[in-house]
Amino acid sequence: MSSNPQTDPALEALVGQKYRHGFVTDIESDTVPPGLDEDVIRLISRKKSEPEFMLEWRLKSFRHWLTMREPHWAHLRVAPIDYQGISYYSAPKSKANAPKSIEEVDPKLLETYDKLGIPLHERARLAGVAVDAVFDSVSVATTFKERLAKAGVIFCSFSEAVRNHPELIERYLGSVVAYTDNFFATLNSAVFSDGSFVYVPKGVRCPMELSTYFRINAANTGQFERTLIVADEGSYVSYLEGCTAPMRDENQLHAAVVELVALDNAQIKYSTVQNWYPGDEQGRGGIYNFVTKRGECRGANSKISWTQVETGSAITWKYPSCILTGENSVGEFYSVAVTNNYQQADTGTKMIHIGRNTRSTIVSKGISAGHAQNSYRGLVKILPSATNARNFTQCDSLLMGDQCGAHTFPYMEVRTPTASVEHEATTSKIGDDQLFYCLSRGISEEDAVNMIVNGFCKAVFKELPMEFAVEAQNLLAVSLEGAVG
Amino acid sequence: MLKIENLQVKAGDKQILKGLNLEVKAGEVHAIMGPNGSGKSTLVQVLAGREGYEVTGGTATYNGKDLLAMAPEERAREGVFLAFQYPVEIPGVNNVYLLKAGLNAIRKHRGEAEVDAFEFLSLVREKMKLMQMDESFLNRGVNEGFSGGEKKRNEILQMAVLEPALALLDETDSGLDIDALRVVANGVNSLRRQDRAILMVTHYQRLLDYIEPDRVHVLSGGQILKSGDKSLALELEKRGYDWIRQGAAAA
Amino acid sequence: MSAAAPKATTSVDRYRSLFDARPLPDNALTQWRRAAFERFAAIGLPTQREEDWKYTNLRRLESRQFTPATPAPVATDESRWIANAGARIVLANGHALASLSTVSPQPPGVTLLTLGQWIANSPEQVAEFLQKQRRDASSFELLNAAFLEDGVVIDLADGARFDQPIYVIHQMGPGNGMSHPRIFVRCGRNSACTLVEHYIGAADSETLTNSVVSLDLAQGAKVAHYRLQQESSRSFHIGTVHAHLDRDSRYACRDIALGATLARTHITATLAGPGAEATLQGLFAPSGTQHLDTYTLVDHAAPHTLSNEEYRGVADGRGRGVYRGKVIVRKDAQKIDSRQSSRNLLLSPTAEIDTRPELEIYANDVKCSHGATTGQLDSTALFYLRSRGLSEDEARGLLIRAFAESILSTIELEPLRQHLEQQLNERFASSEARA
Repeated sequence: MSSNPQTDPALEALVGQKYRHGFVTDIESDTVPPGLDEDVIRLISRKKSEPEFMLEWRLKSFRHWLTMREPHWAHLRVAPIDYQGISYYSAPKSKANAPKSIEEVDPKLLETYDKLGIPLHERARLAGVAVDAVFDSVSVATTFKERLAKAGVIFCSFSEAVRNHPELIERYLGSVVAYTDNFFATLNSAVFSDGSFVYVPKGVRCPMELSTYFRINAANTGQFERTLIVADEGSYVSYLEGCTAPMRDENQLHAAVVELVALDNAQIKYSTVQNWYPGDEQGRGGIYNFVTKRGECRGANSKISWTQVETGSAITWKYPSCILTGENSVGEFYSVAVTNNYQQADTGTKMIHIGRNTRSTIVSKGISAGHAQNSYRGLVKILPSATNARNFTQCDSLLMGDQCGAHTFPYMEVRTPTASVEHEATTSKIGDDQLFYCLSRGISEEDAVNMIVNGFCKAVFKELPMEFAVEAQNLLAVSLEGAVG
Repeated sequence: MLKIENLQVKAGDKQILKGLNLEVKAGEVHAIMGPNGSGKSTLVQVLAGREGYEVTGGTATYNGKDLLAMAPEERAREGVFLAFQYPVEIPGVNNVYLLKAGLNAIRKHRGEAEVDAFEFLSLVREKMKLMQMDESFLNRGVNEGFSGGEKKRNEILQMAVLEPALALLDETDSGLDIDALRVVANGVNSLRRQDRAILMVTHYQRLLDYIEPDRVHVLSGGQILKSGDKSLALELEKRGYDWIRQGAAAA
Repeated sequence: MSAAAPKATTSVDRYRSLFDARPLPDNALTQWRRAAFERFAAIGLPTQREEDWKYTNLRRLESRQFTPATPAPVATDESRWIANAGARIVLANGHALASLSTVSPQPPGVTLLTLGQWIANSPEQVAEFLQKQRRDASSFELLNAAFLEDGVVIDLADGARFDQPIYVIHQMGPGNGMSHPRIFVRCGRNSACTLVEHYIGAADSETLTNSVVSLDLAQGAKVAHYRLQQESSRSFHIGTVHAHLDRDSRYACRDIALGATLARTHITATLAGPGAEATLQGLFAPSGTQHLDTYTLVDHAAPHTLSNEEYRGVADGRGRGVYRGKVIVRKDAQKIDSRQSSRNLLLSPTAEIDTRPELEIYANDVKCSHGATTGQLDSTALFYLRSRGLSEDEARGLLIRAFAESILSTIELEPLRQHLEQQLNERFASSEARA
């Protein structure tokens, strides 16, 4: 029974809680004044002591961004964003330079992550997980570096990677998400401040879970992190990210870019538990989560698997995608997106089949409550070269309450007769029959709903690493607080 | 234990039960028989608290309490159990998890300690043996992908684990072949006790060959037209329902 | 035949010169046309930047110069008509031909006339009626409004039933004419009729058909609508259908697209009253370089409404099939049951199928589902048939026809079904069978 995450008593305990990561850490910050021009970009690059090629890349991106127009989406209501009103760099001013070890990290920061349930001391709870902690614009600590180094795995902040492994950065940065890709990715390319970098060498199975914990703290800042994961031939890595932010009345912009590269026979498993501040019951405040995530299965027999549990943010706009270039490569997308109150989510994936015998699976579960709008948007594209390609998509929506919306927008473009593409979707409310069945077994309505919703999401939760599956279920219960009945 | 007086129930605009009277005492097994559409299923659904019915008159008391005023989960915790005619599938929710959550809710209600996982599993395994259920059942979703017979066996398994005081069996024999029927009937018989009442609703006499009732009632047109011992069921099998309806009309 | 336009001239300019060249009387109808044209000129033809046209590029259409089709009688191809299909109205290049039409005496409560007759009799009444049409019309509807000449008006009084199908033949070509016919169907309470539209193009013609059909179903009315598109392989077909369903009415549309080099059918069914039910079924089979696009929109605007949709596509050669099926459930439209299925066969490595089944749902007590598949013929079935002695071609033909059969079998009109089966047999017959 203990293997069944549904039995965790924490689930019950958490029902009825509000957003619990909404506190602010009182720490002195080095924050660049709001505004964006080439000087700000030069300043960010200088602060990070970047090599020339990085600065050039940033400026190229910025100049391109100036020619782009902010996108407008049919199904999202976005308050105007003042790009000159955002501070593009904010770092806790603890020590003159980045700390060399955990012992040097400001105790206030350690305490913050403790409070978030992410202890950075290596002997603490997450003993099997290496953590890179990103606080506002910079990485403040990375754990288990030495143990990983022994295996040959590079896991460090992006800034550090730029300094210590410039050849890897130059080779892979922007190789999956070009600096011209889209408005927010291009902005990120110009101003990104930090993030995580992972390189797993040939034939290495990363000995532990890697994770990055993102925290927005300062007001009026945007967070623009960049993550790059390269899995060399025959390697394996499982990576997960968590995100939280304080409760503030204004919207804050989070525009991240994640690039994954899997070479021959490599596997990357990327999991996200996104719990940015969603705004209050009236829809005030909350994070605008406009994220570009894309992986390329560059090598034969490679595999990239995205799993996401999206419960936070005022608006979520992201489509973790796979470009299946290598023969026999596999792309997967498992998603639970929960929206309550006035949250909006427009999320899904793109599976681009290029290589022969490529396969993809999409499982999306959307839950909408309150006044929220929840859309699945997905593209399955089978190019003529992708003979025998296979896709299966299952896309279900659950509606809780009569003021919310749930939408499904799949696009299937098939140009190979030997391909097979299958899509199924359903939208319904929680079945009265199911509810009554549970009630007649003595279970309270709230528990019954939780049980049914968790069951609805099970196909996705089972893809999460154990430590996060429980966390994800807890989040679900918290997010749907007040949605029942 | 259960006392129903002049119960009148509407579904939508249609009056289904039109003044039904019934008393079931602890230790007794009652069978309600009747033609299709006579209101048999409505009766047990209303007793279990299903929404969508309107009680327009009459009472149902259970151990002296107003049964109809209770929420479905309260009734379950007080010891009322409904074995569904069509048990619903709940994808992704584990069978055993549901059962444990239900049992603990009931135990908590009674002021008893929750069962631990080990204790619970051995209890379920024992009852599964009785119902001749496969071990794989433990890992499956509630009724997910079950055959008709498996669903019915699962219902009786739940009854065996939850140990209700009043069990309502809704067409438990429907959709069962003869071997499955034997297993289900065995399960029910093993649960007959002095302090437990069973009210079963069935269209066919067949079930009563295996579960012998103390009393048989004929429900037709929303009322109980005739009550008797188990010989009444045999007579019904032979003569159909019409003679009772005619008798009632004449009276 | 199609004179290449000078580069500087846009398609809007070309349509404007055609519009200005027409002698039009000074009346309310002309004012309505002019207003429609100006709105068309302001928005122009749709581009692929618009979500509705994402997969259909109109460059092929835009580069053509069409001439307004004349009312002069054209060579008809009666052998291609469906025999015994009902009361017949022939629109040759968009103009009604009384000589070929056979409309038997109309039962009480049934008014069946051509739009030309109606315009000739009472242009003010037509104008007044048209004013009440939808404001948010698409560019093609506006173009139709500007150029419309003729069409069919079907008006059924409460309780009226027209017991034989109304068979409208849109006969196009030869030449490069364009036609903008309009069909109005107004069904009173509890009335019933069957409308069969058959679009036929003369071989080698390069025409444009831009038809608009609007159906208004009052409470309890029942309409069966068949659309069979067999334009010439070098022609363009744009079809717009709007069905508005009041309480307890039933609309069933069977939409078969086989012809044209580029075709686009846009069917909207608005379920505006409780108990209304729409059934949309269709088959599209692009081959050669055909591009066949279908867009259906089912709008559940009232509670307790039901929709059922099934489309099948078979793409061969360099053909491209596009299907977008959108289902909207409006806020407070509770107790909705909507099902949609799109199944597609790709027969060639150069063919393409693009499908978009969409659900947009703003009410919670709904049961909506859709499924879409694209694949090739089942290799096991193919092998099975071959192991029973059929050639590969025969086996393929058999399986394709079986695939299409699930749509054809829903056609209740026997002569039409037979006609279609014959057409599909010819198209998907094996080489042996053809010999």
